[in-house]
Amino acid sequence: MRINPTRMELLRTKKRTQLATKGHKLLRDKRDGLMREFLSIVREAKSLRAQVDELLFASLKHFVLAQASMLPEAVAIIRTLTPYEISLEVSERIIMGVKAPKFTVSLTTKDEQPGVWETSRELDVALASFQKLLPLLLQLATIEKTAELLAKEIEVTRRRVNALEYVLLPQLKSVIKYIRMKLDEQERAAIMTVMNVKRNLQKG
Amino acid sequence: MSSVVSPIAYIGPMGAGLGFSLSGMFVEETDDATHALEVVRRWKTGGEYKIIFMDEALAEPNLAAIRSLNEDALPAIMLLANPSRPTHTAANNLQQLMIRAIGSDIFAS
Repeated sequence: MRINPTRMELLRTKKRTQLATKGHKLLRDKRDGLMREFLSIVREAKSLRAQVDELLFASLKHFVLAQASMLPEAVAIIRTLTPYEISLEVSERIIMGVKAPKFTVSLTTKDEQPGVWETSRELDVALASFQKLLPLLLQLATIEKTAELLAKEIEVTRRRVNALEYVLLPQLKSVIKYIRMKLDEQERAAIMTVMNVKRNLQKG
Repeated sequence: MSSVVSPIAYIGPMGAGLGFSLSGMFVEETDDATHALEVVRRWKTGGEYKIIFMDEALAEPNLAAIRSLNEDALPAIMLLANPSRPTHTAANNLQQLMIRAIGSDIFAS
């Protein structure tokens, strides 16, 4: 790297170092804050995932039983029905600068309901358990997406912190050291020149 | 395959989508993981679905591609456990995420 060992360059490099130190501190705080948020979200996601898996297994089992207890024609008819209409609201949540989506669902009952005579009791049980599962699924989708986005941001922030800490700041410090050394050398050379001139004048 | 216009879609193995379709979601059933990946890619490009639920057994062979499709804020691609062939990919995904973010799995112990 070619450096101009001047006082101006020294001042400029000192300013850059101050700015980089401030940036490093801010990014480190951001990384720590993101990690705190991430850990609490991951804990929540883990317990919710276990709950969702349990409910999903149970309701899919009910659906298998329901399909087994009904006539194939009835199952085929039910497959074409849409008894509920989903409306999904996507809002935005900002966590330490990370924009994460938040999902809210509402179900509207439509006229296309499965007939009482063609369907089995298991189907009602299965549908009821699925209705319980749906809000949890949406909550899990929100949480897991947030965790995903936070993880990505943590990775980027950590890289920036490391780049400042291990590359830019040491580089700037060595530049400052080099310029100081050069300036001191120039000062000593100037003193020596003045001393020589004085000595020559005294001799003459 | 259902013909519901919904903001949520589900892609899973044959016969597993009844509950999702009766709840008003768009359902695509397939046993082919490559086809499933193509469908998810098409859905992402189309942008009509905000949330895509995907069976973990279908996602597992193309996990890296699914992860890259899930990098944007929307759509949220969420893996669901498969009761008949549990691969625990969905749970492992969370673990991988934690290792990526903080460098270790705090739940491992």
